[in-house]
Amino acid sequence: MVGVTLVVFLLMHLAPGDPALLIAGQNAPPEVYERIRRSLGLDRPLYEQYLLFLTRVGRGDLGRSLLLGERVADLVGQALAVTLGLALAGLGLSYLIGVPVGIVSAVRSNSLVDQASMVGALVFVSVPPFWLGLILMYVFGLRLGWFPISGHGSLAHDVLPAVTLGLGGAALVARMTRSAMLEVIRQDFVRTARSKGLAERVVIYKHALRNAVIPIISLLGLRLGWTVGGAVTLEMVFSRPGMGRLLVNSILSRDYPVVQGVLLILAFSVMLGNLFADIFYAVADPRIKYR
Amino acid sequence: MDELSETRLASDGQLGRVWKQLLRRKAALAGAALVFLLLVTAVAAPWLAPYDYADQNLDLVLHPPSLAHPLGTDDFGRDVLSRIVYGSRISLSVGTVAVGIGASLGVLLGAAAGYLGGWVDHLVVALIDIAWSFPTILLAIALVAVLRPGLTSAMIALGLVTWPSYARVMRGQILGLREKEFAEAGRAMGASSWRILFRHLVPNALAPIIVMATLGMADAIIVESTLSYLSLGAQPPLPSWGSMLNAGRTFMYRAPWLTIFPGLAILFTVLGFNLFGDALRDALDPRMKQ
Repeated sequence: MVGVTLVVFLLMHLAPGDPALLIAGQNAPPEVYERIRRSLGLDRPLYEQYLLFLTRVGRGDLGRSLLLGERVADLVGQALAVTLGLALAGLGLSYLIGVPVGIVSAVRSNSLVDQASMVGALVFVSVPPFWLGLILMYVFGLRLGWFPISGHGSLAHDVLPAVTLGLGGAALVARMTRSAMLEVIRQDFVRTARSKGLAERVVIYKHALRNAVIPIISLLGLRLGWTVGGAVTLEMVFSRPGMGRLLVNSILSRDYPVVQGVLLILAFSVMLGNLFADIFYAVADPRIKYR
Repeated sequence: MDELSETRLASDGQLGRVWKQLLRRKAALAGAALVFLLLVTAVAAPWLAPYDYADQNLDLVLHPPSLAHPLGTDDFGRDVLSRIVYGSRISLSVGTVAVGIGASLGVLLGAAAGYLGGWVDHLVVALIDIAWSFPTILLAIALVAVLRPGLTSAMIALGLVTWPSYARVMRGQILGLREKEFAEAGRAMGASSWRILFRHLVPNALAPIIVMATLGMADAIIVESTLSYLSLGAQPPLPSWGSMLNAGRTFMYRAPWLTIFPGLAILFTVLGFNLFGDALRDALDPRMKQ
């Protein structure tokens, strides 16, 4: 966590432009410029600036936006709720679609259904999420008029971005579920379950899936970063007031305290998500708990 | 014949097996064909493109696909097909440079961490962990902000965000190989650590790195197009597929060809690298032979 704060601090320190000059303006008198530099702590050595930054972050103080004057924590807080909502909806959809597709593919391995699903999965893995968003927006928003094409605030606004994010993620989940299930259904205990005369549904869902669930869950941790990244780019496509729009607009206007705040909070969210995935992992596989 | 030469011969035999496996797989051939098509398009762009990518014809603004302009024209009356053809150069060069930087850095650091161990290993592992806390696209966006938006920045940023994956795999490979007999033999013959590592261990650990680099080309092309779509990558009038999509968004209802065709170009290119990379991984993995 300290490493993450160091990377963010150094990145923003290396970024072009002088924050004090941005606040004071090009024509400000030197004493005003110096006063602002001192108030921001920019006259101190780099390590002191970092320690000051770390202390402030520890207190939840992410500074103020150079452009809007508002507290970065407030701006980021509002945007984070939008982004996390979209990321969780996308992640949920990717598992809702991906796991059943992967199971059917594995159970009917090498059939037409399997081949079609896997070709479909490969195509969706290869589509840039923002372009898929644009295409869905064109078809279901502009042509059919079923959903609004931009904005935020109602369930209808969330459908297209969540489906875009979910489809891209579902492709990878389906591929992982298929390979995990294929490994399990060839094992002796599945053959034993079948030979006992159990219904195929029970064999697949109770015996095979339970044992294939570990790699599928471990993918959850890996997908979190991708999903948050995807949500951030899709916000620009669907004009949603989330972290993505805040980040890109702040970069283009060189509002570095906001860039810093967005990066820190998103990295912490991903780390926290990974921690939850690890806990979930231990709950799903008791062998990990005992180790 | 010494043990080290035998190792080489074994890997030459493996190369022949992999080649045969690839020729047998339809997906590999389809992927290779798509990648080859991209390569030819990029190299022969000036001869293949019917117009220059920057040629404007203000009498033909947002003209739908026709015989003269098979993929239509954009809001400056520029030929979309020509811009897509020239755009292949950007995608290919971004992919190659980004993967080159990421893989070289990753191989170097991963190999050093795996072979030297100790504080070098701790430091590299910590750096990998820190880098992985950030979603790739976000770290790329932040790095572009530091380096100033542009194509060169995008290439460097992409290289810098992808090295940890290569380093992690290379570290694991070297950890497994450093105690093998041929490494012992090298040490017994008095070879330096540097020589053992980069003449004998790294060449034997490159197979998964080659697969990752092929799949990494696909990822790099997607991230570059995303950065360009967000106005942080290639800047106008460069015909990057991502920036073409950004410019076409405003006219999506009136001129959907500006959104459809550059996106299809990205899709087929990425699909090519993914198909070929997947097949290469399967061919290199002995378990897939069964």
